[in-house]
Amino acid sequence: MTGSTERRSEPILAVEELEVGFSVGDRTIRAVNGVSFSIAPSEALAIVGESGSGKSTTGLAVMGLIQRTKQVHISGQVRLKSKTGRVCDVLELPARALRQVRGNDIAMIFQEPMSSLNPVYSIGSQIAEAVALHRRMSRADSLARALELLEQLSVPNPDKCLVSYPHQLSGGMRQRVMIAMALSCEPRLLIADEPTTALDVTVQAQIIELLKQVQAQTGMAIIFITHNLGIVSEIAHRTLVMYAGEVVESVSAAELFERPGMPYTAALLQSLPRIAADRAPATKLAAIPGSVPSAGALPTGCRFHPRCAHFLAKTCDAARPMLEACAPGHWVRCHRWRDIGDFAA
Amino acid sequence: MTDTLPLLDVQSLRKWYQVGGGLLSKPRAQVRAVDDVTFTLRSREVLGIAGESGSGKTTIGRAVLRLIEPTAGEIRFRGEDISRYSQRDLKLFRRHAQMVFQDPFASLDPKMTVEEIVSEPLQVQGLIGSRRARRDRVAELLQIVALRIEYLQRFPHELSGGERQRVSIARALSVGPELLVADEPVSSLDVSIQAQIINLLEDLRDRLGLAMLFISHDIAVMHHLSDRIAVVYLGRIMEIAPKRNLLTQTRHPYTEALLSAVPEPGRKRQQRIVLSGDVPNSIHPPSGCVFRTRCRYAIPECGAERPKLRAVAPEHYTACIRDDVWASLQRPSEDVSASPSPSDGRSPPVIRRIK
Repeated sequence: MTGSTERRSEPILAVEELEVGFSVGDRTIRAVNGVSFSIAPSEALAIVGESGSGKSTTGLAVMGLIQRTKQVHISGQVRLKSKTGRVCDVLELPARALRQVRGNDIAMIFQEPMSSLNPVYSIGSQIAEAVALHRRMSRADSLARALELLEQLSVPNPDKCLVSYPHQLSGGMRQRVMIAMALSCEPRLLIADEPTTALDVTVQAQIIELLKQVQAQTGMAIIFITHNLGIVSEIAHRTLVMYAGEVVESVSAAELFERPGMPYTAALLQSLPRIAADRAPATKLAAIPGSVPSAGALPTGCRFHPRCAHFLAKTCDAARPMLEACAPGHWVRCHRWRDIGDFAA
Repeated sequence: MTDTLPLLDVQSLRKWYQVGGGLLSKPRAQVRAVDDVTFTLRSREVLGIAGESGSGKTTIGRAVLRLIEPTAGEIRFRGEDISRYSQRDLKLFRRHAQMVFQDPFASLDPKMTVEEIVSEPLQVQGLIGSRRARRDRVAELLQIVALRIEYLQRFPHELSGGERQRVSIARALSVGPELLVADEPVSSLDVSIQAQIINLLEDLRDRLGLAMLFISHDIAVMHHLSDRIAVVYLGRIMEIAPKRNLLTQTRHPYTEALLSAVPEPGRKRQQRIVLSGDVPNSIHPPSGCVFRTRCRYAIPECGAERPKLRAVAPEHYTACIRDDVWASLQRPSEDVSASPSPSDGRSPPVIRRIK
């Protein structure tokens, strides 16, 4: 559905109609509804949304980290072309095969590096463990590989870092270690779930530059999950905007800022405080009224309609809008995209 | 005449923490969380304090209200040194200065209703008599922060993040303060809610004539609301200026890097100044200029002695000694003289919002 027009290479991952729901008591909370996208090598896809939009759940499902149980319902397909060239559905893989995929084909980094690292093992042995899990290597070789990775990520004093423990490192350095671990088996896809949110802005800039540099070197695809639209323009080629469990817009990163099609995206962009390019004194921010609906109590029709400035009774609250192409490579989920904004005839 | 004085005048504020040591042994080291911070705040003015984690920005905010005891320095509120206040005076001082915290989930008591939360400062200060009067006052406050009257009997868990932050703002306003210290008031909120709270604070400044210390790591958020901005690093002010000057006539490399690091939506990917390394340890800060270890303009002289803040334009102070760099970078002259003279204590905020 979101075939990228400007990229010729075959996608390495295609997600189709992904649904994730959680049963709580007698209710079902639909966290992710019908999410579809694909990603090609060397591509950076940003999934943007506020809390509760389903962006992290999507990332976890792609990684095969959400297991089907009585309470957890998953459907759809996550087709992955693995290093061996075989195509498999991550959602259907048995646990053993899934372990081969994770780390080897897809790797993931998380928001808070401190809680993702084991406090009682040294950095070196943690990276070496990730290496050894997928490659037959001696301890010495895997430690050498760990050192090489840290050097590649321009960690100052990599020898010293190798024998340090997580608490001895700063937040930015811990996130570098997480990235080193994720890169240890040269995955073809990296899922980064808010990797810079816990970091200071100057360190955030370092990590983004680093990821861009790694991508340029290795041709790895990156799914960047974030709530920060500023980061999108720094790193992404394409963007999925999510709201209340749905993709509401799918667009190239450049067009996202120039011609947002969905009123939610447009309103979100307008509500951002920014240091204006002309540096003129700012006017009042255009805030979006209300708040994000909870996944247990979704509005009927378009899920954004109670907060939307372009709400039209009996249209927007009646049927759920479909994702429609409003321009080449640009999809939007809005009944009224033809009447409003830049697409008005 | 208190009117000619700044509302808040902080001189050489210092907060050092001792590390290690026991009952009989000497402390091993000092953490200089805040070191020689000097600034003033006029009434109805918003001063932004920008810095990364560990810069001491929160410590400054708390020390100003004496929520923590400063190690040294003077804090004058309307000319009176509050650092010498007794507990009794301090309690009266809290009618004039209040605080809004970052996390509205942690700063509201889950067992209290909105009415109880908002009226608690009134009760502590003995400002309200009857239950009726109390309810009326809380209702009025809820109206100010744009919450419906039904919220009176609700508990914090029934509210969204944005609504909780409104409640904590209402609580701070209950005693009718002139100064509000807002410590990262929007950082824990969703993007679409942040703008609501920023607009609310802006509105309060205009309607109630509040002065604010707006503490944040996000210079874009702060830029929106502040008249002046102070940039802090390792417990020291690096640069303080009216926000327009700070952005167009930047005179400190740290400010420059901080501004360039902010990811701006829609901005073309550009050559950014990416600072190398991390913030140094504040137990052993670098000699001389504390920023020089990460500064791209550093020269040997930067390590010689600790640079003092000095004026480079009206109301614009910097701690960078490399005037030569900034002179060569200076953009075509912006009208700096447009700001009213700083000698006049009555003058309105330096940069007014254009409506």
